Amino acid sequence: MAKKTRQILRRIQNVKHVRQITKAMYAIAATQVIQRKRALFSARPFGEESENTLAQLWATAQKQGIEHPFFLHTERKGAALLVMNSDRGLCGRYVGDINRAALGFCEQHGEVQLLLGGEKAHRFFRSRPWPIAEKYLHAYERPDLGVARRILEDLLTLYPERVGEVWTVYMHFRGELVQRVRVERLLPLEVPEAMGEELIHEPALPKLLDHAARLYLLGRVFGILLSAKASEQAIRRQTMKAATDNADELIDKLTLLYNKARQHGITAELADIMGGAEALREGK
Amino acid sequence: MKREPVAEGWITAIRGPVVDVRFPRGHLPSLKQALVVPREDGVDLVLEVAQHLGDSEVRAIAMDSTDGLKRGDKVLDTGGPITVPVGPETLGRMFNLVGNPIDEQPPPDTKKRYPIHRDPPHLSDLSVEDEVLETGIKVIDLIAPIPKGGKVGLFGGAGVGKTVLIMELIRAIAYEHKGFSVFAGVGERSREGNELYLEMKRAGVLPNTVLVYGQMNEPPGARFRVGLSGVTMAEYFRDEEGKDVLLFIDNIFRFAQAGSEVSALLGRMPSEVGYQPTLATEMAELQERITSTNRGSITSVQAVYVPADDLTDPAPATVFAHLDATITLTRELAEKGIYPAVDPLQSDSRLMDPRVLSREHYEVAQRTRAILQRHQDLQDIIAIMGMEELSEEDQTIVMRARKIQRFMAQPFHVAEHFTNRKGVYVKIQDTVRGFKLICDGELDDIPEQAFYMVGTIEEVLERAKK
Repeated sequence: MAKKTRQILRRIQNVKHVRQITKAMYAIAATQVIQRKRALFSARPFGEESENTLAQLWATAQKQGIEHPFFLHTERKGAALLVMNSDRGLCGRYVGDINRAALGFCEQHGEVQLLLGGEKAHRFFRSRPWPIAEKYLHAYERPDLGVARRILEDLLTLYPERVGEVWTVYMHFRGELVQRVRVERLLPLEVPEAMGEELIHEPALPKLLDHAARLYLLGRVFGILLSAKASEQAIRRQTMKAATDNADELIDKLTLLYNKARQHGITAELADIMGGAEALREGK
Repeated sequence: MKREPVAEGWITAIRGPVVDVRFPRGHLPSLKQALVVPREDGVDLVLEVAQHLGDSEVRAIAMDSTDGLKRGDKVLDTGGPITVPVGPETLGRMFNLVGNPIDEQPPPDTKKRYPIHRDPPHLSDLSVEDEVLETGIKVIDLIAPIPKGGKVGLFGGAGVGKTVLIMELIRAIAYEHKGFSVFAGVGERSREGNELYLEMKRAGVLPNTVLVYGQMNEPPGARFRVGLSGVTMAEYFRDEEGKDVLLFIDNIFRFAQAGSEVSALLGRMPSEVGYQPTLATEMAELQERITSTNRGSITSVQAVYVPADDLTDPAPATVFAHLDATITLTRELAEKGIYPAVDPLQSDSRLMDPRVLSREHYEVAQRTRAILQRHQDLQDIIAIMGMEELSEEDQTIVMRARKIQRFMAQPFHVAEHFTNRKGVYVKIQDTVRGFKLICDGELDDIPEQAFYMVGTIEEVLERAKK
C-alpha cells in the first residue's frame, strides 16, 4: 500500500510540474497575442492601400498592353509552397492543422518545392519526398520586414523561372477565438477590379508597376507572417488554458485516489493492531 | 469413512465451525485426523483436528454445518485423516470434500481412498518441461503462454471476468485435451458449479472429468479443505496412472479466506490485514502438491480473487510465488469493454523466453509490450495536452497501441449468449502473425473499430472492407 501511495504521489508531482509549465506558457501567450494582434492590425491599412494602388496601375497597364511577369499565367508546371508553421510546440492543433493542409496540397499538386517556416514544418517534411528549397527556422518569432523581404526574395528566385505558381499555407487570424487554415495563391498575382479614376503616374508605368507589385507582395508576405504568428499565440493561449484545466482535473482525481489509498492503509494498519491486541487479550 | 472408529469422545464446546472434543484420558487423536459425529439423518458430520488443548482434548474444524450439534454429543475418532475416493470410477462424478457424491447417484465403488493430506512429490521426481499449451485465446498465447504441466493464476478483482475466462480455458483445453480433468470449486457461486456440471454433460466431456465442490454455501471448514480433495483426486491419475491431468481451481483465494475465518476461532493471532499467520504455509502445502513429476503431469489453472483490486494483498501475493504464469485481469480494461480484460503489462509467463517460444513469437510479444508500455507512459500527457502535442512517432505508437488493445479482445464460446458473437479459437501462429502486422505498421490505415472482438487478422481486414 505504501508503494501505491508513493506512486500516486509521484504522479501528482509530475502533473503539477507540467501544470506549472502550461500555466506559464498561458500567461506568456496571453500577452504575446495582444502584441501580435496590434502588429497585425497596424499593418493592414498598408496592405489594403497597396492592393488598391496596384489594381489601378494594373488596370491602366492592361489598357496600354503592358505585361508583367507577376501577372503572367504560364504553362510551367510545379509550384512553390510557403508553409508557415511554428518553431515550438505546445500550441495544440496549430502544428498539425498546418502540416496536414500542406501535405494535402503537396499530394494534390505533385511537383512542389517547399519553403518551410518553423521547426515543426521542417521536422514534418524532412523525411517526405518533396524537395525543400528553403527553410526559415526561428526566423520570425517577432516578424519584421527584414524576414518578409528575405522570404520574398527566395520566392522570386523560384518564380517565374522554375515554378509556375507560388502558394502559401498559413493560419489566418480572424480574431482571438477564430483562426482558420488558409491555402492561398501568392503568384501569379490576382487583383480586384480597379476602383476610382485612372492615375497619372510618374515614372513610366512598367517600372512603377513592378515597384508597386513588389511592394504589394512584400506586404502580403509580411501580413501572412503577422497573421500566422498572431494565430499561433492565440491558439497557444487557448491550448495552454485547456491544458492547465485538464491538469487541475487530473490533480484532483489523483489526489482523491491518493487520499483513498492512504486512508485504506491507515485503516488496514489499525485493524491489524486492534486485531492483534484483541487476540493477545483473549489469550490471557 | 469406512474405517472402524478407534475411540469415542464427546463434544465440550462449539463455536461456529470450531468444535472442542474430549476423549477418554490417555487417548488423543493426532493433528489432521478425522473425527465423525454420527447424525440421525445418516449424513455424518466430519471434523478435522486442528489443535491439541490438553492431554485428552482437541479443537477441530467442522467440514459441514454445526447446526443442531450440542455439548455432550458423541464423537468417533476414525484413526486417520479425511479420505476421498480416487480412481477411474470417480470420473464423471461430482463430490463434496469428504468424497461423498453430490450428483444424486450412489457412491462410486472405488478400490482406493486417498487421504487428503499427502506429502508433495520429492524434489528429484519433479520434471520441468518447457512446452506451450495452446489456449486459442490471443492475449494469453501471446503474452503469457501456459506451460504444459505448469501452474497458471488468473488474478482479478470482483466482476472482471475470472470465472468466464476459466470456463473458456476449460472449454479450450479440457475439451480438446484427451486426458482427464479435475475441477475444484472453492467458495464460488453454487449456481456456477451447477452450470458447469450441466454444460460438461451437454458437451460430452463429463466422463473424463471429476468435479469437487465446496462452494460459498458451505462453512469455512469445507472451503478450507476442498482444494486438497481436488488435488488428491488429480494426484491419483498422475501418480498411479501416469496421466497428464488438468486441474482447475476456482477460486484459490477462497481457500485462504476460509483459513482466515477459522484461524481466529482457533485462537491464533491475526497477521497482516487480518489473515491467518499461517497463510504462507497453508498455501504452500496445497500448491507444492500441484506439480508435475517424471511420471505424469498436472497442469493447473487457478482463479485468484484480488480483494479491492489490490494485488499486494497478502492472499494473492502469496499465490504469486507458486505460479509459472500469471494472467492479471484489470478493471480499467473491463470497463472499456475489452474482454478478456487481461492486462498484458501485468501478465507474464516463465515461458517468455526465445529458447522456448519461436524467436518471432518472443520478439512480437516484447514489441507489443513495449508499445503498450509507451502508451501507458504517455497517458498523463495525452490527458493534459492532447494527442496533437505528441511527436509523430508517439502518435503512431498510441494509434497502434489502441489497435493492439482492441485486437486483444476476442469473443468467447462460453459468453456467446452475452455477446451474441460466435466464439473463436485462434492458433498461436495466427496470433503472432496478427500482432506482428500491427507492430510493423502494416495495418496503420485500418480503423481501430475493425480490430475489436475478432479472431484472426483476416477477420479484421474483412471487416475493414465493409
